Amino acid sequence: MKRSILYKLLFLALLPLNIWAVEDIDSLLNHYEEESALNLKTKRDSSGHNIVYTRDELDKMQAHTLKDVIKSIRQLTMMDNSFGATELQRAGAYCTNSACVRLYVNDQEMTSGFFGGALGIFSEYDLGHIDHIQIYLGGNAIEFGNEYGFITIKMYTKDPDREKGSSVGLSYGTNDSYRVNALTTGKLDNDINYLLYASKLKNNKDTLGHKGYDVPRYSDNLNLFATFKRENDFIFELSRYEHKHDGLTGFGDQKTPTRSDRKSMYQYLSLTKYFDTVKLQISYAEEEVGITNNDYNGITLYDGSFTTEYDNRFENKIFRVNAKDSRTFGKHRFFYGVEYQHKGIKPNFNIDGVDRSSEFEGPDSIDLYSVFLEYQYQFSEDTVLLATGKLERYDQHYNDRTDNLTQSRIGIVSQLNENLLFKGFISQNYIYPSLEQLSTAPRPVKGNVNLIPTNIDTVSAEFTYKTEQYQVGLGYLKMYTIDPIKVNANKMYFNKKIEAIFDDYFVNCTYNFNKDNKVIVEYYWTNHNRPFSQSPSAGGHIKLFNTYDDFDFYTEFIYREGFVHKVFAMEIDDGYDLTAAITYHMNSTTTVSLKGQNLLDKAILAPIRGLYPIGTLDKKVMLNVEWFF
Amino acid sequence: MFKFLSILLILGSLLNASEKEYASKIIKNLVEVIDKPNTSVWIDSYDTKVFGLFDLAKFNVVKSCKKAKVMILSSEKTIPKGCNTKPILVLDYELLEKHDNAVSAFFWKKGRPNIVFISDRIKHFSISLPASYDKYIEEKIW
Repeated sequence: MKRSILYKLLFLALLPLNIWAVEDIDSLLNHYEEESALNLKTKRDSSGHNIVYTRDELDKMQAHTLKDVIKSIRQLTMMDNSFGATELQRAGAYCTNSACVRLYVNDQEMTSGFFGGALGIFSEYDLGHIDHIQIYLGGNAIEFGNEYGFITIKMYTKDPDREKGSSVGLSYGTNDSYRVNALTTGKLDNDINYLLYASKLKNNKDTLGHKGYDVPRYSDNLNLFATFKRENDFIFELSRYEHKHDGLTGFGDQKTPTRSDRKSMYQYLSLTKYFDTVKLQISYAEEEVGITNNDYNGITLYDGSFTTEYDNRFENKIFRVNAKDSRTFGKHRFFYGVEYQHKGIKPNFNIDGVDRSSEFEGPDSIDLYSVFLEYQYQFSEDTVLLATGKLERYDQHYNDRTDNLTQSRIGIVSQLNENLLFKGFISQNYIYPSLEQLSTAPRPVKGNVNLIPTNIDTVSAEFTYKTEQYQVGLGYLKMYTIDPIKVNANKMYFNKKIEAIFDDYFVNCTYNFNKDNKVIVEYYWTNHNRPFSQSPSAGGHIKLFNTYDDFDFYTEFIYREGFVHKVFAMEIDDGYDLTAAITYHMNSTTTVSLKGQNLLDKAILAPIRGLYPIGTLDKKVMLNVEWFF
Repeated sequence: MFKFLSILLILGSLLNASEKEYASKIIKNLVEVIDKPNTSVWIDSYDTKVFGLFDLAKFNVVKSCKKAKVMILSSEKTIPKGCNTKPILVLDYELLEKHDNAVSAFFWKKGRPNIVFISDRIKHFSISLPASYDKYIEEKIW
């Protein structure tokens, strides 16, 4: 009798779970879309603590550039630096040249060969051809690339086989800013699909003033991208990206530039070939960076010489080849690979019209050889244990210096019950000095060939409780940064003999009202052992994604805690960035949308030495029209 | 009885409906509204892409298109003789233009899966769609 009641209860309890068996066509289509999402195919739980921006979210957000995405990432604040470039600052700290950021488009690493960071060139990378973005925090999986990143941003392009058509978009808004973009896809003979994308983006900001001088603020971007692929066979990519922006106050002693701008170009070819389980990638990239800074009141270089016209150009070449393979034997999975990378630069310095390129000292190229192995053990049906090791050899081609280094990581990913997922990692990594930091030339800051890598050790844990309707996340990360590279009072790079310790905490919640409507709330804070903060130590956001009939709505409110920058003697107030976007799908071929960013004009300001706190995001409204055919 | 049903439900719940299963269900639904449940279908099965997309075992597949009530096309193939009067479900939107008998399409566009029925073609075949399909009916091909 009791057993009969038990079966009845079980039947009633399980009945709702089987509703899908009699789903209507709308529901089936929705579920098919969810199950087919490309972000599910690229997400790797074992790779770290990740944040995903899906295609649907990026569309509703009207995320046209990378800035629209990275500005709300927890434990980071997007801030312009004194040369007008955008950086992501780790909570409480200051990260030079965003060396803590690693950026990828598919498998291609988009990092400056000279500066070591990515955002100096790609912060406004156009996202019109991007399907989704995976962000890994707190140390990347070693398999992603050679060099460590506190944050790894992986952008995945749209699948030509799923786009099936073309689109053209036009945007216009505040300060005559505009964006023009076009995408087309198709199929060639022999089942080769292609996607071509082009965009031009001009972003004008309010001109600043300083000591009677105008400091214009603008950026200009050109993005050309092409991919040709045959399923399970090969992917061939070509890309050219140009980014020009103001150099803000520049290097001048009085911060009074009559001209200050930076121009970058990055282009690459990449071929990925699949041989059964083996993936081989060969890529060649060229980078050009040009810095022009004229200052009537002069610029003092590291050696004490004085100039009013500073012109600095670098040509970098980056060659990479890597092969990766994975094998599974019962409960044991092995993922292993080898990589070779060559970075070479050709500097060109023109100071007051005099060519001083021959004064360049230090390594002008680095060869990097690495081999890695990740071992995963399926401890139980719900638990995976992993251990990774990587051996690396850096050849600087200067003073015969060679560094042999290791990186390692252990972790656990466990589905504790039907709803609760736990991830925990302990990793030991380092950031190798960039060519810019190692080499010396007629620049305001002197390089240092004796720099050693900065050690980064992390311990992290994250719980995620997920039901069909809501998800709650709770995380902690402890990070030790040993011997970070800084600039001393003599304007020279050096390893600061400290151990900076950061304790990061976050809590977030996503509530899905239904497939099209949800709210995300997140708050984070960081404690550290440094004497003062150089960026916000706490922050959070509320994001609302809504759909009603043919309208999509997106509302975002980002908070960043104010701080006092004691070195610059600046007090930064709390920041509140309100973004609102509405998209009207007029018909199957036309979409009209309107977006306003920093509508309260109170987004967090960035402290700039010798100037005053400036806004990274202007108050801006853009009207967009997009046609599909 | 409840014991039997509960076991069935437990088994059903354990099945994680995958991308392929949902695609199979959608195509099965489309085929059924074009004709009737468990109707006979012919598939241009030489295209290996079809096998990856959905599960053929879920369908009453016939080898000769002459014996089929509904045809499924995924690629540009010539319709075998004697079969060019039957309704077709296409898995590529462009095939709607190439085949006048293509009444419906299940396809990817702008990164999303879509369904469409062409109004005059469903009238031609006297297909009566349930009300839940109304929003998928379009007057013309883009």
